[in-house]
Amino acid sequence: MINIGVCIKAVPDYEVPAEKFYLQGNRMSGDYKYVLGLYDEHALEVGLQLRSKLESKLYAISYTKKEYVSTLKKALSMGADELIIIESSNDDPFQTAYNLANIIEKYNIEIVILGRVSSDLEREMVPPLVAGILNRIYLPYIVSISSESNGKSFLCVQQLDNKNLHLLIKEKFVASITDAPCNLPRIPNLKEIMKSKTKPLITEEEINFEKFNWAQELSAKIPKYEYINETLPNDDLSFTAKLLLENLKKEHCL
Amino acid sequence: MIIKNVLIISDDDKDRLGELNFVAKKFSDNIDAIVFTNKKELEIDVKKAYGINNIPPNSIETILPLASKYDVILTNGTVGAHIGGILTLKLSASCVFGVSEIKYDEFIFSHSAYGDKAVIDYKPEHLPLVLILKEKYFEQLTTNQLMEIEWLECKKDNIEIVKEEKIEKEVELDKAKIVIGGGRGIGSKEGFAILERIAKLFGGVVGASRAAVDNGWISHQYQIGQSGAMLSASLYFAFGISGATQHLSGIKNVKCVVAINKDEEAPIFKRARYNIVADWKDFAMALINELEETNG
Ligand SMILES: Cc1cc2nc3c(=O)[nH]c(=O)nc-3n(C[C@H](O)[C@H](O)[C@H](O)COP(=O)(O)OP(=O)(O)OC[C@H]3O[C@@H](n4cnc5c(N)ncnc54)[C@H](O)[C@@H]3O)c2cc1C
Repeated sequence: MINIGVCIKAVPDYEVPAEKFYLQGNRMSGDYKYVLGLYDEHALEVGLQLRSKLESKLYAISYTKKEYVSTLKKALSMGADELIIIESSNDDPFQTAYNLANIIEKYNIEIVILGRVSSDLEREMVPPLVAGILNRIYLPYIVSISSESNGKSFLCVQQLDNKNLHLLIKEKFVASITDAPCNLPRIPNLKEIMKSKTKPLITEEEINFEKFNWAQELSAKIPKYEYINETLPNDDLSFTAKLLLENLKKEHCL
Repeated sequence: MIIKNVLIISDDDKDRLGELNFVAKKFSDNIDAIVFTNKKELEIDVKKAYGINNIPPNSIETILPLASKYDVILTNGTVGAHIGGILTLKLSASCVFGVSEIKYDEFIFSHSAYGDKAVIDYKPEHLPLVLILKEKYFEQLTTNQLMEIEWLECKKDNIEIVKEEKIEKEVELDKAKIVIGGGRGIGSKEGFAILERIAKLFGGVVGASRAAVDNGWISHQYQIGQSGAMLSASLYFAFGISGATQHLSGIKNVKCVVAINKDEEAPIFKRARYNIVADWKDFAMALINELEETNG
């Protein structure tokens, strides 16, 4: 039996338009709905596809505030077997990675999968740090993972700028997932939602690891961009098209 | 902080190397590079160029002892994603990931968050420093200097490449001068065929928002934005695109944006030079007629 761990995070709704976006201190503030990270859902999908072809158990793991547990439960209705929560309000990437790595070791998790980047702070730091802490190989930009020889080795497809690499790996590894049509997240069906209500939710203690002095976070701001706009008349669209083309020529855009 | 030397770690893509080389020069003239390549020579302005003919995950042990000799390690792209975090940990370095702007005199590094809706500033407090730069956010240093490569060997291959598939790009969005973009408002694959006609008449190419790609109307290669292409076009048409910040980050360098949307409150209108409040298809047909008439 192989243990698969997918690390997930609840993030403020990323569809919130810029006009409704506010900061309090350095973080997004306001009464937003929370959703599962965009890439985390793809990571879950890759984990679930792997589990379906291998005798294995899939843990969804999150270092998170308690109030987001209901959002994170989506992982159970998508198909994860258990949800492990490490309660914390810290979002330091090193504390996050150390705590996730600690749970990964505690639960003997062989295959660790994360989303490429979190959809809020977008630092792309936690996945490689988890790999570094665990001294495992790190594979970013993975779109699918399959098991070879019943879990003795794994084939990972990595999507780079102009090529796909099929990588064979025979040891424990950490992969971060990028989105691709082959890992489009499944939509939980009613049966899975009902089943998820009886699945285990485990709460683990946070550990305060020694602070890693990576950089001092100064201020955050909302960038302001000014553009000159002109609204063209729209009662006769043939005229609008003609006017637009004339203007584009004048401004040397054509 | 006094920076004595800088190490660039990159693949051999000319643009990526040029951007790293530009930023490296701002810190020091004492620059070396480790490049993942199979070329014999590289156009790069450094003192020494090391080459690795392998993949980054097999090369960490080779890079580490060398990297430990430098004050600043600069990387970007997929190579940065592979090695940045591990180097930070193993070298107990300070770091900033996804750097989009640098205030060199203040030693402040900016990173955009929340889909480009906010920018956060970081100040590293000690060296060595690992910086992962966002691509296409920095100027490129161009040089005619051809550097010979000193090859580095990887001790052991932990990963075997069993297959390599070239992705044939149908379109080079980042280089196109005119791009006709379509979003969820287009509503179908057939709608994109109309945009294709406009692109042909302009001598441009079609692009899309993530929503259009997710709906399967066009392939991912055509996606513009944070997780797609970054345009450098002089003209961009946004048909039925709302203007989410993740989309806008891909058109940040476009000179002139024309937005066509039936919702006069759509955020794209704030970014556009010309706003047309209309049904996209009605305007697209009018534009096609006009272009066909003028093109004869
Ligand atoms: C981590 C992350 C990365 C992302 N990366 C990207 C990215 O790279 N690129 C990207 O585009 N998005 C990206 N997104 C998604 C982004 O947040 C938006 O969801 C997406 O850009 C919306 O696409 P859209 O404007 O086509 O759709 P919508 O926001 O639904 O807008 C459709 C627009 O069409 C208009 N419309 C509808 N019918 C008509 C009509 N008949 N005529 C004229 N107008 C009409 C509507 O008024 C509306 O303004 C990302 C999101 C996340 C979380």
